[in-house]
Parts: sequence; structure tokens; C-alpha cells
Amino acid sequence: MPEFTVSPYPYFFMGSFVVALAIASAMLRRDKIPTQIIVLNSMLVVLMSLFGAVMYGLIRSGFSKGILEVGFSSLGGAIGLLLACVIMGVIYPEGKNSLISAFIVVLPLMYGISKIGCFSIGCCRGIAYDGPLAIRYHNYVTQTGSVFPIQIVESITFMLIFSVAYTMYRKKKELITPVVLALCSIGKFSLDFLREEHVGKVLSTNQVVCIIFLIISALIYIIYKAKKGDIYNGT
Amino acid sequence: MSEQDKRSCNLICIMSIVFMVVPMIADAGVSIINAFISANTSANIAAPLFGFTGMFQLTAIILMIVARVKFPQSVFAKVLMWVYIALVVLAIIFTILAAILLIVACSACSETLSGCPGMVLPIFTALLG
Repeated sequence: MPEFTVSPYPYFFMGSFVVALAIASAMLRRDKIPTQIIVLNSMLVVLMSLFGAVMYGLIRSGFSKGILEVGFSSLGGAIGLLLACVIMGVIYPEGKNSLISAFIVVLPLMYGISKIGCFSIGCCRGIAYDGPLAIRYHNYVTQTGSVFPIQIVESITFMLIFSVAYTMYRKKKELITPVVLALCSIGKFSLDFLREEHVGKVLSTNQVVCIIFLIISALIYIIYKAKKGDIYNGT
Repeated sequence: MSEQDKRSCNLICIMSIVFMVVPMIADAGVSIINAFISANTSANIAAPLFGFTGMFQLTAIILMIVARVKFPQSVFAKVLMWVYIALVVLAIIFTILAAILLIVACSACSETLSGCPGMVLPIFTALLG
């Protein structure tokens, strides 16, 4: 691994927001959502994701750690982002489906980009591993021996989920929200087993949250199907 | 916009201002109190205070959005929106500036810290503590 003079992490972190907001805004413009709603929604999404990203770490540590010690949690950020879209959907019900599905589509892309940042500095790293493509960090904090490059595997997995989600969006497929939410939950749940912080645990907090997300996506799917059945039955 | 709508919109905007300002005052109050008691106590209060401040201020922004979307003709809501956007932009600029200053300061102290954000955080915590 190369040594960086300035940490590349913030660039990937901020870059993930910039790219996601640009793509989501273009999608919302295509759905004829007013510019003002897009701007207000973007502001709420950025603030709530950042707040969620920090709060998740604080709650997980039982408020025993400081704000700067816990860092940013991507799962907390995703919870904040989804909550922001749901709130905006309640305020502006005409664009509820567009607002939620646009950000659900870009969510895996954001995660994929931010994981490259994690990879570059060695946080969220994988389990000890000596096989092909093993990574050895040699900076001051992360002298841990060879580890599995889980961040890159996560990044590729979530980029693939994004391409599936975007294709679904372009083809105007129904049920984007539950399908993408379920794919992200399954991806995150499975890959969490290969992370260093999972060692010694049966299920990590992240995996429990993923199970909750999976249940929510199943519920959305069932409710949608039930409603559609009602419409077809004329009730 | 009817008188009733105007009253409703003004009420939402005033509630939004209250939700934005109260945690700022509470934050300043706690900082002053912490200056007179031990540094360890301030570290324990900081995390829950962040949660309280964040939730109140997010509520303030959500209320502003409600006012702006439901009553688009209201000047009060429009002004509030621009004030909040300016606050968010300023907060982002100051955070980036603080981060740059911190990295420069750490790099000046030690060569080994220059590429290491993980080390920046404990130093920042120690400085705040």
C-alpha cells in the first residue's frame, strides 16, 4: 500500500455525497420534482445522514465514547438518509415514491465509494488473512499484519447492487425500494462476517440492523402486493 | 394566502426558530458550566448533548421545510430557509477549515501523523477534553 501525505479518506467520503446527490437530483428532475423540493431534500439528506452516522456509533457504544472516537458509521448514515426521504415523502406526498426510490438507488453507490476511502486508510478492515490479495497496512495506527481486503469486496458488491438498482429504475420496474433494501441488507449481513470487528461475536450490531432492514423490506413487499391485490379485486 | 394560513405558517416558523436556538443556548450554557468543573465530566456530557442538539436542530429544519412546502408564498418561511441554508454552508466551511488546520498542525508535529487520520481524532479529542 502507498503512503499518503494527506489522508484520501475525506475525499472519498465527501465524494460519495456529491456523486449520490448529483445522480439522485438528475433522477428527481426526470420525475419532474420541483427544484426547491430537490434542494430541501438534499439538505435534509446530508444533515440526517451525518447525524445518523455519528449517533449510530454513540448509541452502539452506550454513549461511553466521545463523538470523535466513534467516527462515522455507514449503516447509521443509511438509516439517517432513509429517514430523511421518508420525512420528505410525508411533507411532499406527491413525490413520495420518486424521493424514496431515487435515494434507495444511490445508497449502494454511496456505500461503495466511501468503502474505497476506508480501504485507503485501513478502517473497517477485514479479518486476519494471508492468502491472495491480502493487505498489510504499515501506517502508525493500523499495524495489524495481513488482513482480508473486505473494504474492496464490499465496494465491488455494492457497486454491482447499484448497477442492478439503476437498471431497475431505468426500466421503471416496480418494487425498487424493497428489492434494493433487501439486496443491501443481505450483502452487508454476509460480508460483515469477514470484518475484524466481527471476530468473537455470533452476530454483530450491524447484522442485527441488517435483519431489521430485511424484515422492513419484506413488509413493504407484502403490503404492496396486498394493496395491488385489493385494486385488482376492485375492493 | 388566508389569514388562517398566515397564522399557521408563522407559528411553524417560530417553533422552528425555537428548536434551532434553544439547543445553541443549552450548548453554550453547558460549555460555560464545564469550564468550572472537571474535564472528564465534559467528555461524558458531550455525546448525549450532541444527540439532543442534533435532534432539536433537525426538527427545526424539518419544520422550516413543512412551512416552505405547505405555504410557498410565505416570506417568513422563505427568509428562514435562506438563513438555514447559509448556516449549513457556514458549518460545512468551518468544519473543513478546522480539519485542514488540524491536519497541518499534526503534520508539523510529526512526520508519522501526516497520512494518518486515525491519529488525528485522538489528538482532537485530547485538545477538546
